[in-house]
Amino acid sequence: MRRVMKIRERILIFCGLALFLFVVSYAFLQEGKAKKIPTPVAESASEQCVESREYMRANHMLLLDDWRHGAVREGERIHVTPDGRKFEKNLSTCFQCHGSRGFCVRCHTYASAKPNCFSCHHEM
Amino acid sequence: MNDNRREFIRKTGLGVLAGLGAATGIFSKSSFETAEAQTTHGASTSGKRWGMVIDTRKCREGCTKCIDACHEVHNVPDFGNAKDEIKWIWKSPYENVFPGESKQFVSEETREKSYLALCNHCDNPPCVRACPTRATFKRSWDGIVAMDYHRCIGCRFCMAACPYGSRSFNWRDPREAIEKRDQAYPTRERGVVEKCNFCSERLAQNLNPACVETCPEGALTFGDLNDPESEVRMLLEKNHTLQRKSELGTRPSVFYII
Repeated sequence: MRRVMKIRERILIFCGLALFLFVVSYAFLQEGKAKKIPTPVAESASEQCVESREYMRANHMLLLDDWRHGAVREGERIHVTPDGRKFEKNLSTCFQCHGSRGFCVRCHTYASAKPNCFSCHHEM
Repeated sequence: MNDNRREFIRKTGLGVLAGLGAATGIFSKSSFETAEAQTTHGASTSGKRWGMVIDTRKCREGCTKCIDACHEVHNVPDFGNAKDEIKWIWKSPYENVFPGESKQFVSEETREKSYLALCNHCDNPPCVRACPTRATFKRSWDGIVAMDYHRCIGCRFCMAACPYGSRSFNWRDPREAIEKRDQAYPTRERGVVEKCNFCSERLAQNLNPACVETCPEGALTFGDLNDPESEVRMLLEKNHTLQRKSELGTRPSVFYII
């Protein structure tokens, strides 16, 4: 009688241990299954953006701020790239290649960033 | 002992007086200078100064084409009540547009007519001086009093400062009351002030303001007031004109031929 109890206790202990190990390692088992970081690409890939892809990914908001300041407050509406290409400082310039605001939304949703550009600027 | 105290008080008093005198000599000059710099806020003599001449003799009573065109291209909402009203250009009776000019025995035609009113894009704009965030500013290159809606915090100091009532506040989300949204121009946010921008977005494309272009009578003329050869200057040369409340020293860029 005493021996039987012992085996039962052992089964319980091992079950609990297995459950515990599963719970602890659950997060590690999920590796690789996380939501992929979106990497949206311009629709007309042949043309080059205002700056390099790496710069735009990291600093597009600074560039847009700079454009806004230039166009609204200084009257400089044309952006000239180092290699001499000219762009109008306007959100709609972006959408000529980048299609729609969906391009912006994909990353911003992932990063939980909420820019409020589109409440007033409604370029599609 | 008593004499000593009296002497001490006398000397201290003299010292304080001398100090005050020196202080006014040092500080007053610089404070006067800033005051003067502020009163002539950005008054431009170089570069362009956009202006408008409104020939009220040609303006037809009951016609609202310029108002409709302006409000349509700039997504100006129409809430249908005076409290929430947003206006960039509108019509008002003579005594409201020219309160200082209301003299005795004004002709009936003048009294009965309504006159176009819009932002005067003053050469010395009081709204710009009132704005704590510099959301509204005078453009140094063409004299337009512009708004940067991104910066406006909705304090409405500019509305209190403007003697012409040219500014409106968005009490409600303007998107609710825009009938047909023009995709080419942004809308505004609830909680910001807005006003006529002299169609700076059209000027950038070498187009005349929307109101000037739509007027079927050609009553509105737009041009550079700093250019003596311009059409507006010709009109000012040939006609007697009025500026709204010119006695306030705001130097409006909108002129009226009565």
